[in-house]
Amino acid sequence: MLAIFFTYLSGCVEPFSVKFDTAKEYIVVDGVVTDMEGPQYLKLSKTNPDAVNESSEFSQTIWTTGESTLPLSKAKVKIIVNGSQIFNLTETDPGVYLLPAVLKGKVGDSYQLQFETETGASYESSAEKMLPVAPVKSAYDVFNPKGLPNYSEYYRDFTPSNDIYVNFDDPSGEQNFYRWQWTLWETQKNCATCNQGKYYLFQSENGVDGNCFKDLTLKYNNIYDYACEDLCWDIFYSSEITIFSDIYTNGQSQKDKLVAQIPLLQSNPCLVSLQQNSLTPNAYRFLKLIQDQAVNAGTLADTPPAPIQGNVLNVRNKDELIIGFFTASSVAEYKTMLWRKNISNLAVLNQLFKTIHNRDPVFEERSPERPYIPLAICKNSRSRTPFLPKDWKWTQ
Amino acid sequence: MKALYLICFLLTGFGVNAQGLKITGTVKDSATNAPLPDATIIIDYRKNLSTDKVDEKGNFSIELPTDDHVITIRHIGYETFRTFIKSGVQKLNLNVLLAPTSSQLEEVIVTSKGYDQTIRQPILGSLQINIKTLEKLPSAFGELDILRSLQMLPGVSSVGEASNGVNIRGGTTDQTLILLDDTPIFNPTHMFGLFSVIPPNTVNSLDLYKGNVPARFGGRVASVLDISTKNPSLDKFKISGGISLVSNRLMIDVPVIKGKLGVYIAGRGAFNDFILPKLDKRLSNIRAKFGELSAKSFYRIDDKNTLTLMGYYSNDYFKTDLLTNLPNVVGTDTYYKHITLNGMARWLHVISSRLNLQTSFIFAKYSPEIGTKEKATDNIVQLESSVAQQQIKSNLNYQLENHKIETGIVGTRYEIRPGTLVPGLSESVNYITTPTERANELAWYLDDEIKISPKLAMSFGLRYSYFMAIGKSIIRNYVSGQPRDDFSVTDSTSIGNGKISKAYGGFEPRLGLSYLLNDQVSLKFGYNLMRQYIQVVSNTATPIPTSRWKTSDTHIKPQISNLFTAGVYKTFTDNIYEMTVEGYYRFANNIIDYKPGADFLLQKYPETQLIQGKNKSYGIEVMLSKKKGQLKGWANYTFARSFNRTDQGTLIELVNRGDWYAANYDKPHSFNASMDITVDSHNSFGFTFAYSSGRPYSEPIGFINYQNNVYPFYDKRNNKRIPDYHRLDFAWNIYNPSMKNRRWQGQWTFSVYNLYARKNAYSVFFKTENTVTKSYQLNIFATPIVTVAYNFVF
Repeated sequence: MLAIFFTYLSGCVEPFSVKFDTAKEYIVVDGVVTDMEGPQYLKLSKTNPDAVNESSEFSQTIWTTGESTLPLSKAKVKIIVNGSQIFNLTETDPGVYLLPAVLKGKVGDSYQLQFETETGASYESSAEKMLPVAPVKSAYDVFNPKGLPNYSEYYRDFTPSNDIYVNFDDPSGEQNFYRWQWTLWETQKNCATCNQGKYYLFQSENGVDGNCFKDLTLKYNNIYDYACEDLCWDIFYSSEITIFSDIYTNGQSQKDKLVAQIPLLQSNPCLVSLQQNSLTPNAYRFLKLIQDQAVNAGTLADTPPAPIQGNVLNVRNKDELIIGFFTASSVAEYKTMLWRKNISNLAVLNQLFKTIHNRDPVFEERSPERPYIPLAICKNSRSRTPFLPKDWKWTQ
Repeated sequence: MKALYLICFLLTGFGVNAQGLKITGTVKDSATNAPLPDATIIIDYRKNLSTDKVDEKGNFSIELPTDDHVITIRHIGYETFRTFIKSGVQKLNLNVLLAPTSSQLEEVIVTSKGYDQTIRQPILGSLQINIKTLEKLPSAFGELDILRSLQMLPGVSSVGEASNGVNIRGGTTDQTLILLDDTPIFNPTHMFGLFSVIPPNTVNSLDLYKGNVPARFGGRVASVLDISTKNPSLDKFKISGGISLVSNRLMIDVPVIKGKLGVYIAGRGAFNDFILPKLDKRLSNIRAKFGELSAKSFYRIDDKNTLTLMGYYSNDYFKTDLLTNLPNVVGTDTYYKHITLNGMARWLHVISSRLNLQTSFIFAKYSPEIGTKEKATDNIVQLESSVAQQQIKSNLNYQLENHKIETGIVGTRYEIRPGTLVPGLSESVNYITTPTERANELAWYLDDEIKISPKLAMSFGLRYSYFMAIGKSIIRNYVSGQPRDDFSVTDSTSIGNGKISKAYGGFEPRLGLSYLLNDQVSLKFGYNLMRQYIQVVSNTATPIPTSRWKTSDTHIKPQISNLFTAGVYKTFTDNIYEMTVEGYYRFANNIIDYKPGADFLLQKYPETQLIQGKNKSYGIEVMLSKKKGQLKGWANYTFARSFNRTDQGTLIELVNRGDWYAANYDKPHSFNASMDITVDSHNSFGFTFAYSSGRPYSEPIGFINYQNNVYPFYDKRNNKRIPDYHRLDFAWNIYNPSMKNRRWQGQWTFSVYNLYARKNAYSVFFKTENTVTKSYQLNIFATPIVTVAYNFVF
């Protein structure tokens, strides 16, 4: 009988139709100073009052008409280290501000964000001190055939994953907060997709470049995919918030902590960088709130959502709600090749393209006008690289 | 005019009868032999011919014209006595002993205290609920659930079908004091709110005080649900029991020494979870069990002294991998377990027919526990907590011609262990404990019911309560004007063992007035002030079984509530119909709310997570009931609002920036109807219908891109409402289907809950997965639930 009851409970979640929008603009701050190598960015945006969010009784997904956030451009942004050194940031893309290369995060230093918008409003964050982080002692992965619900359309309900568990020693005598993030490099065979167009190579200032060019003789829904000219890697980043506090475990050795689920987008070996980050107490609390609200289950035990005040304030109007957080975090990186010998889905060898797009690539056929189909260039970006990733191995 | 004519006619009727019938006699309690001066004698079902002229020794005398007569003698809390007197009899002596032991109080499901007392008694918003009639009404899974049945009454609601308690007149669940034979019940439900912990077969009477609360009750600000269990039978061995899809029940009633000592033991258990995996693979990791055991003994020492002992135990076990883990402990599946252990001993000493003294000792302990298993070693890490209360009280009852006085003193001791993390053999987890909270409360009270004139009556109550938070404890001091958190601590004060760290106290006046406009209509007015020193602190929509209890202390001020009530009461057609209209306004100070992101688990300083404020609730309740006949039932409509406002903190901490906002259980409109049709002595049908506005929930106002993902964001708590709720239930009861007059009497109940399969939303929620947010509604009982249950008495 309880059985019947639980069947009711587990089988009774249904789509619910909603429609909502924001009348006000809120500033969103997304910035972390780390002690990792490489360029670091900080993002400023604002919510869009014209965006309308809607779901229907049939599809539970909430679709946003219009951009939900717009970049906050032309702000004067600076980071103050230890209350004295001032570093100015430069805007590289709208709303994306690059930290100067000379500013390298260091454990023990404190960082404060200050910025002034185009309209003259000034904002500042609390000063966040970069705390040390314990290294990953060991890590292992376990194949999980039902790892990620609703991740890739190719797999429908569940995308298999390689679940990474870590062991680490929590330092005693201090409070520690952790966050795990990962970066994944997968080899990609197909580098360009042209909608109603064809791919051409051309000479540019920086050498040979390539791009799609519209071709109105093709049908409007015609798609051509182009193979990569050389080795190419697609880069994926974690989007989940995985955090931990040593409030109950201070000074103890932690075992079997699930920290990452790497989707099985293809069964080829891949490179994973696992980042074990330190968090400040306030950053931990903030992320915990975001996490609580994102993984609601609608039951009695849920915490009802509420507005979340970050650590950035309007200097003149402390009551303005600013979303997001600025903090500093020390990173212990653990890089490993996943050889994926433990998986049961060998059918997805070299199938990165298919599992992402849920279709096979369609290559342009040779024709009298185009006897030679060009190969596409693997363009370096945040999500793709033609350069051999550091620590990549071809053989085990 | 019509009524007047009727009276004239009847008076004439008396006049023409030359010969008369004289009945004299006494009315006494069958257990204690105490006279029952409040008994009502009703002649030929007509209220006009009733009398309450039973003197304090229980003697009465009535004169009637000779004719066939039916005499009914009723008293609140006793079985009704009925007898037929054939015409021709001229003199009769009736010595009636009313038995207080059965639950067959009245054949009316809900009645204000006592027959005819809706009109007369200077008490408002107090309902007596008959368990026998609740049994006839449809219930989910064939399991009579007292808290769910109560929600059919005006002013009683909850956040939904799985909620851990009831909300009465805009109060939170912990603002209602639930007493089981004077022992407090801290967690009234099994299985996260699906079933009440009160075993229905042991219940004798249920009194709900949602308006005037007598001064003998204290400690909660909204209402009191006073449940008293049956007394053991002193003359007859009895077994009763039942089987439903959820649970099995058994009660054995043994008169140990006939007429002197009786004992019963009653149990209920639900252990059918082994079927779960057979139905659905997803359920293979769920274990759910609950059970209760209660025992009571009644010993009549002599004519003047009785001793009652009661014990109650309840246990819940719920394991699943669907629920969230114990946060910050690395483990696999999690279980929830909670145990209630209550006991009561009561000595009644009759000093004279007008005066008696009752002394009781009470203890109650509630211990919830969460456990999680470590993957590599199977070691269990446990989070234990408990709340315990001990109480001693003594009260004196004194009856006079126009006064009914009760006065007493109460001493209460609270002990809360907010949480201890027990690592077991774990190498990863530390032993962590939070300081035990101790407090004492002393109270004195006086209740007096005064008949000022035949038309005007008053109930006057006064309680004085004094609460002391006791060390050993560490009290932090914070910079004023800053959010209370770990950063604004200036210093701390250490309080020694047994020393008072903070005391609160004050008077709690209770007043009720009733004015009789005529025999059928009365007006009433009531005022209450109540104080609450112990409460649940939780950050969930409604408290969960493991929610933390917290005593008032230096930082957490006691809650104080003022309630004003006014009502009109009318009966029609010889008391067959009753109509009541009650309005109320309640204003509570120092209510508890949590700051966004509050976490109470193993929190040593919960004041850093809490914020206090105000609640205002108001409403109007209209109820029409038909109390007699083959068709009985009621219908009610309630308009009720409840708003909170946090005002003791800095702007950032305040909920909705310090504006009034709808409470989680604010449901403006509700309509309930219930009907019981008795076809013959073997069949009855029951219908219930319930409608209410949807409760509030928080809807996001937009999305933000943050840290490689998209998250919804919110600006106000409770800015939208879930869809309206409505439901129809049906039950068919078949009594003694063999139709033979045997000792074994069986009863089948066939019931359908949610007859027209309404998909009522329990909650609306938003879930973000892989940069996409989806909106869902959770339905708890979305299809009709058909059940058959069997009960028997031997």
